[in-house]
Amino acid sequence: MYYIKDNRLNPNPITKFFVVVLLGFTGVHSINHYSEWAVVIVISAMYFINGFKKDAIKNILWFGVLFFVPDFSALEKFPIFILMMLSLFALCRMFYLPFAAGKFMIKTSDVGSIISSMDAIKIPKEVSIPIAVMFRFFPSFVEEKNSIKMAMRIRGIETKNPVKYLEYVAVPLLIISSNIADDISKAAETKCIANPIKKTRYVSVRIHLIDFIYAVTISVIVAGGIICSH
Amino acid sequence: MLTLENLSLFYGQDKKILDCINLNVADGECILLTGESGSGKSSIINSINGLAFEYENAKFSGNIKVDNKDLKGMELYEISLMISSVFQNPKTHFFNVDTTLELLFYLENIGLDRKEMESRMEDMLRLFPIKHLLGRSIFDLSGGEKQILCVAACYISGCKIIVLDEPSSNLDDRYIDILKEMLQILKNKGITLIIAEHRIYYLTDLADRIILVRKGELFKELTKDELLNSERQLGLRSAIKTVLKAQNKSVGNDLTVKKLEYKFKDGFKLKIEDISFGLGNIYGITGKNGCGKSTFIRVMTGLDDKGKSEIIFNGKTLNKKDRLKNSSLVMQDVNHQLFTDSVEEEIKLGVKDLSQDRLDKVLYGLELTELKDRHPMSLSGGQKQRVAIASVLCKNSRFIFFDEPTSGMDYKNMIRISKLIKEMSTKDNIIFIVSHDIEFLNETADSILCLEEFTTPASKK
Repeated sequence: MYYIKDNRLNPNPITKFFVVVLLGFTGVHSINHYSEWAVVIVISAMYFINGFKKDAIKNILWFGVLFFVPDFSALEKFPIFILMMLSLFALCRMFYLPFAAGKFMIKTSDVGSIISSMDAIKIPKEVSIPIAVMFRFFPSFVEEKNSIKMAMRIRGIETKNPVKYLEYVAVPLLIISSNIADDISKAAETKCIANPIKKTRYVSVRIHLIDFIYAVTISVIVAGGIICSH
Repeated sequence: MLTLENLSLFYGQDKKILDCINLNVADGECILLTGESGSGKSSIINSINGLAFEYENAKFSGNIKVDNKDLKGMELYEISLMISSVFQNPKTHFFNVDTTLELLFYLENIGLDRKEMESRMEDMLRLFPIKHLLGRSIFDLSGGEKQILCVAACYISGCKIIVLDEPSSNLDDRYIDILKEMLQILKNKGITLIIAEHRIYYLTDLADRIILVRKGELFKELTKDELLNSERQLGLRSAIKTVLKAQNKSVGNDLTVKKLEYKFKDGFKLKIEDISFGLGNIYGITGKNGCGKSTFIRVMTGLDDKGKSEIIFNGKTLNKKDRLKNSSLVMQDVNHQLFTDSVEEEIKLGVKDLSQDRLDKVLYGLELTELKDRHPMSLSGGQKQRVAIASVLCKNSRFIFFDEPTSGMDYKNMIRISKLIKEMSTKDNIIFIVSHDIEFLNETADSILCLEEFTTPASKK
């Protein structure tokens, strides 16, 4: 058996996807504050046991900051200018939980396990391959984005004007994104990803105890949060 | 047996890239395709592995056959079952982030059972000692490590034909030697190798046939003697290994690196103390893949916030902000540093008090006048690089950095870049060039700083 990262503590991508969808409902139907903190702590704990200690702490800190942003009903009392400024933060606060779960899913799922788990639930390859390519896109994108940021700093491109900043960053980012997508597709196609035969997997994706723990804990917290908020 | 019969390749209606190529490659043969940039070497490689038709919308006439089986109309995966590819940039090779999963990915896609996968892995590891690369993230590997993993992945696939497009362009000397050994092993195993390369010295013993490609044609088959005696007339890189010329270690004392310390993830440490550089000089920065050359640039330019550094210029300590203000950088992938919608705007960006006269002069000097209204992203790779150089020239920085400016470049273009850099050097600036390209450094640099001498394991003090 060749060394492949132990995935017993890393839930199946399908479980992670289920959690993202479930937490998506908290954007439209808010849960009480204790439940929100419980979700954030569970996600941080998941990061932690998978070796992403920095992300675990960042997740708590970000939510800690957003927690103090008033919600939309409280914002109505503010003057229009402050309302506009704070609305963006309120929106981030509203969708923070599904975003955090989504980030955890992207950060801790490799393309192999994504394809395997989608194979397991009989998702056709016309759907599973583009999703896998999409997942693979993010880590490359982060690398390339850092290089662009570096180039902007050394060229003295000021970041004070966000509109101008976006205008400048858009050109290289679009070109680089298209190159990354091309590179990943080439890599996949030359590795026979489109081969129509029945594929095998060296590491079969199974449901572990962690999948139940993650899915059930989040479900209980969300259900409890909805009930308590009434 | 691989056969190319009257192969012509077109982009669009009439842009002919390859013209009537006829080539028979016997099983187990090693073919080296060489020639100037744009001669059509890579197009031959991309025709054989099918990428030219799938990704570049090229059309072709003629036939490409493997064991008399015509590749026309075949899906890319069908071609990939017979032919494996190594790309110039190893980034293009990896689909998985985990290296072991990447090696196994092809085997999974061809439906091998677990036992067969393990047997192929064992066989590969017996030939190539790369066990230390297994189970790692591709983002933590150096360029050299990535490239040897690509070659190993080709072997494990079991394909009898491997095409390689400039596999050494991002490698240092040590990894070129490793690559050469790996290719020799593949050849001994009876695998057919077709290699497009500018750097030819490491392949002269290995190649059975050396073919000069010129203007889309197989211009001439060269003997080793012909290659050794006339590489310059043919516009080729050196056919023998170039040795770094003995250079003055340090000339001048205008810019002093009092201290530069950086700890890497893998435990290694870059520690430079009391090294001085002089205005008006060009310094080559060398060292093996992963020894901290890019880190050196980031710290020196003030782009890196993590390392400890104390840098003094003419008696004044430069903080990170000062360094950023006084530095310019031409990156290896210039696509990262082109931001506006015209060449002229690009050059003006971030430069204060630039007169039209100066701008026109720079545009003229770099043959960009005709292109000044074009979108920078619509230019060729060489033209983009000249736009980046033009913006550096206009910024008039004290410290100018180049990161691998000649990667994958032929002799003529390498000399052109060397000339440009030498022209940029004035008594008011210091130029640093990070490069593996010894021929280029011998041509351009006044002094060399090898960073390997300053790299130590973290445990050593």
